[in-house]
Amino acid sequence: MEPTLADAELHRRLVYGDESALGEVYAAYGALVRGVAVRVTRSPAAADDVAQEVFAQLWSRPYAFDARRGSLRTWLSMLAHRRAVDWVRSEARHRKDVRADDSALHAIPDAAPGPDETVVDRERSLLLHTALAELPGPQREVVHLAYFAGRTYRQAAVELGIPEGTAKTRLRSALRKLAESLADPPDPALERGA
Amino acid sequence: MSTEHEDVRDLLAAWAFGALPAAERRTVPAHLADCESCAAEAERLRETVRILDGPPGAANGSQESGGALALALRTRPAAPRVAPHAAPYAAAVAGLQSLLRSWTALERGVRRSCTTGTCTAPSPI
Repeated sequence: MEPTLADAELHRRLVYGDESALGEVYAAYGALVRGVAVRVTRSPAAADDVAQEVFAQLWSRPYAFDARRGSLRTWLSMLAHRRAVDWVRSEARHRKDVRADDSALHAIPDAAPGPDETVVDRERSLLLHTALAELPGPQREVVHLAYFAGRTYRQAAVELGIPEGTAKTRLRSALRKLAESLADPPDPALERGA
Repeated sequence: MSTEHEDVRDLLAAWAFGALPAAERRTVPAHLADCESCAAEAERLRETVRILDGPPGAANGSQESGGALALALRTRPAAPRVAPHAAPYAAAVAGLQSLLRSWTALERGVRRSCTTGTCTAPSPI
């Protein structure tokens, strides 16, 4: 795709170490990055941490972003999503370990567990977000623009420089794949080994 | 198969994501009332997006606590202001330093994965 002039110029200034460029990127995309992270982690504090990491990565290793391969908006959104999914997964592992330790000492149930339904919903939500993070890049980009950045499929097509029909098809393939991952969840034993 | 059926069927995922322009949004419910297969597909896709949204509440989030760029600026100091005549040189040096940091990080990643026995290059994201 054609890099936008604004992205290429921002990138040049980030590489140079221009702090005001980092401020501009944050002003433009900070809310999106945090929004993605809150949606996945469901914790404002965790979302703050994820946002910190995302902008630290852009700032300390600006060459990881390539303006010829995509927009800064989708790159930051996808990075935030990946980091947020990692955060939730490590949090879940940690909770499981703690619970195992606790139960050996005293069999007290969790202090404030949500209703069962909420716990199940959260697990299924994480399953879907994990599957989303593993979609092919071109599908993921359109989903990020449509779902997280609130673009219509037509606006997403313009932003990505692809035909509208392609944007529709990618959304469809992506969402169908997510629906299938719910119907056929990965083996938890394999998941743990990964 | 009417073209309306095909048009709406192609729109269902965008519709489920809430990514339809206003004009097209109106065409979907009218068709769903008449077409069982599209209605079933729409329900399945909508439900998937609902689960992606997660349980209600909590995700609305509060304002960020500030200092969001503190970590970034700790990992790499900002460039000092330089005289205009030195700017091209300073930009070239900064570019090389950034490349070097990326390379070092990449190399660390490779070395780490080699010691765990899976000797593959780390992917960018």
